[in-house]
Amino acid sequence: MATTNPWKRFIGLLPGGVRTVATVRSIDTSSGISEVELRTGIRITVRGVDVPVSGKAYIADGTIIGPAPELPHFDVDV
Amino acid sequence: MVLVKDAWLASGWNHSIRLVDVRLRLIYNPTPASKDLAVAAGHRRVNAFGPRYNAATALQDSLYVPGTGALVFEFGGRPYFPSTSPTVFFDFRYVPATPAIQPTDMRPAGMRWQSARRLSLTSTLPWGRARQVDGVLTDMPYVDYPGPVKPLPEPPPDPDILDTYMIANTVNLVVLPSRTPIEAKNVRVGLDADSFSWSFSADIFTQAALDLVRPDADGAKTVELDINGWKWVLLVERYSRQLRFPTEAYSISGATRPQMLAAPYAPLRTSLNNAPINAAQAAEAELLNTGFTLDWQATDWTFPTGALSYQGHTAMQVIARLAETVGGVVRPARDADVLAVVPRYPVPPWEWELVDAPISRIIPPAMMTELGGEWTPQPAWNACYTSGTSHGVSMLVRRAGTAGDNPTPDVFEDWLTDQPANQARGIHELSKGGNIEIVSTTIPLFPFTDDHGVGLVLPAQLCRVPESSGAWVGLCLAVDISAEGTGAVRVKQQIKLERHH
Repeated sequence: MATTNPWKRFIGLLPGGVRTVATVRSIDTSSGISEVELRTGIRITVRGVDVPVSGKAYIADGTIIGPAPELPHFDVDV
Repeated sequence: MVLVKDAWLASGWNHSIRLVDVRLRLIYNPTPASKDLAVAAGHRRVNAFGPRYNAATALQDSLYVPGTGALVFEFGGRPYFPSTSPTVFFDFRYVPATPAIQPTDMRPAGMRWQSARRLSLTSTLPWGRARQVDGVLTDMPYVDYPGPVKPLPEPPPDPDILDTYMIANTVNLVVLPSRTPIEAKNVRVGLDADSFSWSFSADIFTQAALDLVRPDADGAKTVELDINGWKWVLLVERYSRQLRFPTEAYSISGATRPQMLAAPYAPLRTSLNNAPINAAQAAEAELLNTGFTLDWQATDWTFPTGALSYQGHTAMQVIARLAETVGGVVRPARDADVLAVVPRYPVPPWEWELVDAPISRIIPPAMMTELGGEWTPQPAWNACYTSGTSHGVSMLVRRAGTAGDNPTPDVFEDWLTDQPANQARGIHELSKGGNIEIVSTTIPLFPFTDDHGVGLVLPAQLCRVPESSGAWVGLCLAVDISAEGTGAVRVKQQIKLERHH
């Protein structure tokens, strides 16, 4: 982001803080990881087994932090 | 010597005009001339006693209305146009006869002139400043245009282009509330778009002046800075002294009063809304009993019950987070306890060149004394996925006319609880992309009362720069005013503009 604020520029460099919602596709309880599918269809594995298969999960920094609700979706062209 | 032919010339002037005749008397007589007192128009009688002409009846008579009997024509939803080629056809057209003009008032009508009655001589009309009632749209239905009708924004003031600008800079720094003036040099005051208060620093000369502005048991001292009539009210938060033979140097720095709404001054609050609330209302509720007022100009949206929840936030943290949720910034006033929450991009960059872009300032290149640039490109995103987390909606905001195949990082915000908020945030995220250059330029700070149409440029204002190589529009990111030199006489205004290529 174009900014001249030193603090904003600094926190823009820091890693982490990435939050996303994904659908759980499979759970591996022995290793404690789940395979989840992102909105774009790409699959990744994340740590945590608390959300059942085909449920939506919040993922923050590669860890499931809880179940996510199904929100109504809209498409808008601007 | 007088020529012979002029010897008998005598002036026709004498003293017959007395002073009393010099007076000119105007008699105000609004009565019209006697020939206009009764105006009568003559007319001739034409068909005075025939049936009255009625346009509606004439139209009804000219129409063909199929009856319910056996002879019913099927016109296929369109008027019946008889063809002349077949042997038999119908022609329903009936042309009514042109009616003659009939007199209505048989008596000669006279109009009389007289002065209008004057009523309510003492009552006054409650005129005041006009206010916008209709909101942004005109709400005017146009029969042949289905789209929204937006009035053009107010045009920016036209800068005065002169050969020479002469400014007698005045810089005054006084301690409030006693208004004791203190001498200062190297005064700097500035604001950037991501800050909620102006920052300030100055060098002062004497220990006595420092004692006036040093914080004591009553808290931090307030000073008023006046540069060319632009006033700032500032809290002095820090000071320093350097003693080195043979000089002594004192410097102070601080910020404007919205700092009082943030740590460490403001109390921490924890809250959960138990009724639906708007973002602007929530922000105003934070300012209750603080003396600050809020001007919410960004997108407003609704929080359902239980969606607005935070723990251990100062008032400014809550307001800044509300503003950030829809891509807004908090813009403080200079010398009043007023906060404005404005969209960081008044319109997205792809609409800056349009005729209805809300340009706030025109900065003529002739006034720019220094110019610099920094190339900070970003990917040219064309889609953005924004979503609430526990409440609200999710939305894919896509640039019209693109495939939406280059998305920004997904935005998940707890407070994106409504469609307008999602859309505003998506547009904001898309606005951040593209080939961006940060242009820094220095212009004079004209006096407040005679600003030549340029004046002080504030962050989040759109500025048009009509350069000879082509006009471009930039978004002001930061403004820094410095007053340097002996007596702080060299006043400059450095602004940083975000330009999209």
